[in-house]
Amino acid sequence: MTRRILSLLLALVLLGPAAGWAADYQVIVNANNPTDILTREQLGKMFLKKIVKWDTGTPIVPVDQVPISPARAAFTKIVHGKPVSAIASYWQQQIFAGREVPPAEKAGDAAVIAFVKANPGAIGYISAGVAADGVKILNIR
Amino acid sequence: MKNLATLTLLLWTAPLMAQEAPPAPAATPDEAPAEKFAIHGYLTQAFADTDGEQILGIPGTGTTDYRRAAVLLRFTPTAKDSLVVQLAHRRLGESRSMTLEPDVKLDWAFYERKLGQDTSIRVGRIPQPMGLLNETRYVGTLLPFYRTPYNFYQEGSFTSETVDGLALRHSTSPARSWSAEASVYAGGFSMIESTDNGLVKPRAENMVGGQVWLNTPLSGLRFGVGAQRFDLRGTAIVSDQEDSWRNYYASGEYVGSRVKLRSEYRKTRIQDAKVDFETWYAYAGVNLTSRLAVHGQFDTSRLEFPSGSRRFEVPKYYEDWTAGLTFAVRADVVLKGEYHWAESQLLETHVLPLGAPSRPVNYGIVSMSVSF
Repeated sequence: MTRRILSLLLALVLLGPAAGWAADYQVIVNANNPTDILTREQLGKMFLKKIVKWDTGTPIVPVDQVPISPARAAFTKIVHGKPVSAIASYWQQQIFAGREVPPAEKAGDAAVIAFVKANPGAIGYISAGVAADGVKILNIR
Repeated sequence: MKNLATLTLLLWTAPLMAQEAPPAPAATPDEAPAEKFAIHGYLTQAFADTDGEQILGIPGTGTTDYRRAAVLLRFTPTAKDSLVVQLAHRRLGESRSMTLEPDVKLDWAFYERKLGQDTSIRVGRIPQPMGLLNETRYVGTLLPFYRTPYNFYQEGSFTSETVDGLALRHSTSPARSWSAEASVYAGGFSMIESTDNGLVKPRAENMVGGQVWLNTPLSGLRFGVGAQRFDLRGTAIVSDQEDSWRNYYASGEYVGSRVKLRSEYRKTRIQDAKVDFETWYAYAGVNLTSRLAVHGQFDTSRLEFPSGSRRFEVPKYYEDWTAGLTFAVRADVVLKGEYHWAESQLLETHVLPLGAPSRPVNYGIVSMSVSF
């Protein structure tokens, strides 16, 4: 019994923060996007523009929330495993090596939803619990 | 000075001018991305001072005429095509190489075409894909010190950050745990030679270079090797003014959440002049907090050259122990302080004859870097 309780406590300690972060955002795509499931790794690479097309051939258009957004902090930590500042440095390297520019940034969940609705290839994230009207919520494994 | 004012104004107002195109209602595979135009830039302004001798343009009386700034304009009409132009401004204090450098220069101007997901080609004036830092060598918000390691990357003379020509880049699928990226490039460039007889600006032609990076399954750990060769016309080093150079180098880097480690080695052979130059450096940085980091670096080089029937060796052509602190107000605003304990032949007030023992010179730099 003691061992079970200890195992449960250990699991809570190890998984608690991640579970907390994971509950802080939901990933959305355009309602016409046939994709239902993505892995966390695929998601991270889409937002770093290392995977640039959906299976249909449509360009992926990731959209971020502004850096001070709690949803962005949660998304960056759980998907990239890094703080927002580390990803900002990554994009500075890409920009100033002349390679790529970061995803567009939107202030707030409503702006992200509007962007994803209007762009067939868009993928974004919004705060947990916000109604995702007119867009599709993806299942992230 | 007028150019500097214009550039500064451009740097500070560019974010206001950056435009975002309206989202497209429907997309086809090659349709333009949501943002067609992007303007970015950076500025590092420094105060630098030495303990007496002038070195790297820094006089014993100190200077604030030490900065680097650039504005990068990117036009992306389709998901496959980009046009990138970068204008830059640099001041290196009292360095005589500044007499040959305009206040504002065209740094890069190239067209890039993506050939599939993992391959791209660039044509125009392009940053050389050389080593860990060449492509971002002046972006102060990304560097632990004011400049990249001096011996490996050089600055002002005997170096070029760009090549006028073309470059092809290919990377293996980023989905794999091991991945690789290869670049090959060809073309030419102009560079400044600073010798006892003054400054000349020879032209490098027939340049061919390549570089391969291997990304390991350990996140943040990668290794690279590269080589390049070119023919130099108009050089002051040999009497017929023509020579050819060979560069070989190797790099390693680990970027962890708190610790950053880097080391690079380069060997250069100037064929007819029979000059050999060898350099390596090691860098370590630790994030003490999310904003404050401490940095240390050792950078050394060795020069070997013939004179008459003898060969001379200068074991510490430029050797530098550096310690520094950075404070990131934000990711795009960084304050730095650094001190260099150096021994060198590169003294600019009392120029040493080539081959004379290197002399100690210490210098410090405080700087502020911003980027957008």
